[in-house]
Amino acid sequence: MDITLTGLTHRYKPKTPFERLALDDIHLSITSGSFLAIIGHTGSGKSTLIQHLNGLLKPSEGTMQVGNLTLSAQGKKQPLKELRRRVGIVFQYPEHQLFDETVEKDVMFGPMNFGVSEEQARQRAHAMIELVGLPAEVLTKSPFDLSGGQMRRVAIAGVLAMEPEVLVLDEPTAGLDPKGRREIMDLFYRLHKEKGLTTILVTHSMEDAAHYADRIVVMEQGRVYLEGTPSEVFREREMLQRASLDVPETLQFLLEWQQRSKQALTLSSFTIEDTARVIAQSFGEKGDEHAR
Amino acid sequence: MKELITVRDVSFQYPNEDKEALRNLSLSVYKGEWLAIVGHNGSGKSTLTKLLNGLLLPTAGEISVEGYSTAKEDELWDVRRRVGIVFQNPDNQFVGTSVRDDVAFGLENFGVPRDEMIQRIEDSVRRVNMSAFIDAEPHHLSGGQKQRVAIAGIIAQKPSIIILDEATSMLDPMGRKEVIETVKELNEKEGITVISITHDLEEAAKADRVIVMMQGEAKSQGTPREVFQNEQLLLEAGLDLPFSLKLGLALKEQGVPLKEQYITQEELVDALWTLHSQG
Repeated sequence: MDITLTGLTHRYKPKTPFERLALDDIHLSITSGSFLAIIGHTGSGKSTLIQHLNGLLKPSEGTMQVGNLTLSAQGKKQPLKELRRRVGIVFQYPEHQLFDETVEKDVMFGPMNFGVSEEQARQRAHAMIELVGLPAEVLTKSPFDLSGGQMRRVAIAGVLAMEPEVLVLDEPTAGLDPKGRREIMDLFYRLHKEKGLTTILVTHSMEDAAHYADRIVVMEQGRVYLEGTPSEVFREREMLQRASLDVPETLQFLLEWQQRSKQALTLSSFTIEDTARVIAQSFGEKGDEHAR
Repeated sequence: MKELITVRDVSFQYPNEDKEALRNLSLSVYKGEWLAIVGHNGSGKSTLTKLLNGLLLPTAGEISVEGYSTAKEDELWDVRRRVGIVFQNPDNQFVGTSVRDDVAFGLENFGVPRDEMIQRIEDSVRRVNMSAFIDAEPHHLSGGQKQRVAIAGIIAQKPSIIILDEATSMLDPMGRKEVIETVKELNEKEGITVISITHDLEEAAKADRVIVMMQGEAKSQGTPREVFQNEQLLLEAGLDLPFSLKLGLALKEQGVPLKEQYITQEELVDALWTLHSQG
């Protein structure tokens, strides 16, 4: 589902002494089925931006289009319900939002709220719990008897059960151990591919942005500061550092090595394997020179 | 080295749980060291933190801090004054309406006289490089700044040990860096002992010592070099290898004849450079 933001501006507490411009004239197109990463330091406007995507916040100026739905500053009748069905948000620490007696009921709550029959919602709950890698036994348990990592998966299942077409992830792996992080990110990436979702990931991890995203948007002071493919964005190290960010650790290392070895090297993907290959080549080329 | 904390045969079980969260745990924390504790979610790291300053009491075994036992009620405040904890969420531990008030809160609880209190607040706020913000309100501060205020609140009480309980996990990369650098300075210049509970293996790689927790037990203890040699164990414990170890392995696979394992990026660059100049 294509998403287009046109001149999107958001002011908190407008017309009061506390007025604050949180988003400033954002223009952004997100192609249906693409994976977008949004990066930026705390307070750069990332969260305000994603809260518009399912209508939790209304633009102060400008418009947002999600498929054929439009959210605007003036619109009287905003298509909120339909918007929220299409756009699912996994917030930070989503397990804090679990509330029901059993895992099954908790996951069913969302779809039933959107008019799905009880029977269908139950079927979806069972399917989603399996999808997020939890055993069927947890369905009858209280979500509060589960471990933190399991609770996070239940909360994610609850969002997926609404069968959104756009999935917004706000630092979905914060606080998880490295293994849990990898599993959750791989799950989202698999869903993204299998279901053709449009995925928007807010992250502090340059590595995840480089690894999963087709495009990256860098936010700074409520504006789009940089935008492009991972290679394009991570070419601008100085600009990123001015925005309190940096390039992925693979590229940091390569730049360090480049400085030391005085060779111009380029990295087109940011995996460890590719980094190793490029560095190994710089040894190889040197060897060739000797041979000549 | 002087032993500050002794954990001896400690087990702990939460009420209504059928499994122990910690099982027969023994470890020591030495004066002036930076100890990293790593492990999967639910491995018992945070339970250990709460036991170390007596927020929880062991179901078996004993914990003492500079000779004071957490199990003795009349010694508990001596323990708490020595062990300060910085928690994960910066917004949940800011209690004052300004930086100054927030740091004062802890001192008031310990009944420090007013003149001394003013002195100690200014001093500790300076040591975390937040003097410019001493009258700032919390909502004007970034996550990293709030965590530094939390640290100021702790050092104002002159503790011997600071525990970072995933204190940087909710921060952006810059906030993470400023908090770690602040604590590093306190550790190096003032000899404050640091226990860092973390999932950040790059940070753990720079510690003096690492303990790997797994299902309530300490599975491995040693220098980062010793601990990170056991790749299998780290993966089993839900962790990963630090970046430079992974890159080192990938380089060897590409035929770069590296001899050792390199824990930090600096070491790896140096080793590569040596190889390169010899070639």
